[in-house]
Amino acid sequence: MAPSYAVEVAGDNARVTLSGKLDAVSAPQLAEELKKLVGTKIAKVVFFAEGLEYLSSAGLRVIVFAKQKIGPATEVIFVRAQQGVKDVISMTGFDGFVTFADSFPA
Amino acid sequence: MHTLTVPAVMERFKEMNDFIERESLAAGFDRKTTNKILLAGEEILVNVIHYAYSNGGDLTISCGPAPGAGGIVIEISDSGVAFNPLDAGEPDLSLPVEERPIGGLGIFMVKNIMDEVRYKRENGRNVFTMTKRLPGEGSADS
Repeated sequence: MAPSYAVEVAGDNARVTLSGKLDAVSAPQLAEELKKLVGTKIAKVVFFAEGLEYLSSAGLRVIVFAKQKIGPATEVIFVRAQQGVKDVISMTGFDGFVTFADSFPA
Repeated sequence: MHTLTVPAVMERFKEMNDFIERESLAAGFDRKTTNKILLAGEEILVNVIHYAYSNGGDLTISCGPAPGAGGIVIEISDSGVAFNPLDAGEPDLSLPVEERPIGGLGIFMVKNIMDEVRYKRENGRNVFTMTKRLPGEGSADS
C-alpha cells in the first residue's frame, strides 16, 4: 500500500495533503515530491494533516527539508494536526518553526 | 517473551513495526502511547537497518513484560558493527539530506518517550533495551 501525497501548488503556496503514517517507509516518497519545489517561489508549505495518524523523525526530516531547502523564509503550516502529531513536533522543539492552524487560509 | 527475527532491511520494516504494535497494545498501552512506542522503535530499527551491516544480516526484536507492576520491555539486537545509539553519532554526510540523521534527534525522542534505555555490546551483538511502564507506575508520561 504505497501512500500517495498530493502536492498542489497554488500561487506561492504549496498544499500537501497527508494521511496515514509518515514514517521511515513513506517519508522518502514525500521528500521526492517536495524536491520538485526546490528553486520555485514558495512562501508557504501547508500540510493538511487531519488524516495523519503517525509522524516519526523520518517525517520530521521532511518538514526540516521543506524549511531548509525550499527556502529558509518558507513558512511551514500544519492544518488540523492530531494531538499525537502535535506532541511529536513539540517534543522535538520543532514547534518553533511550525505554525499550527485550524484552517487555511486562516 | 515474544521474539521476531528478520533480515535488517527496509522492506521488512512494516513487519517489525506491526510486531511492536501488537505487543504494545497487548501490554495494555492505549493507541496514543503505542504510537509513541512505535516512534521509539522506529528510530532504533532504522539505525540498525542503515548502519549495522554492509553485507546484510538479521535483527531480533524481543518483547516482554516490564519487571514490576506493568509495561513493556523491548530489546532490539543485531550482530553488526558495534554502535551505541546513545552516543549520538556524527551525521553521515554521504547520505542525502532527507535520510541524514538530524544530529541525535531520533535518540533524543527515544529517551524522551521511554522510561529507561540501555545499550550493551555482548557476545558480538548490539543489544538495545528500552522500557515503558504503564501510566501510574512511574511512567515518563501518560
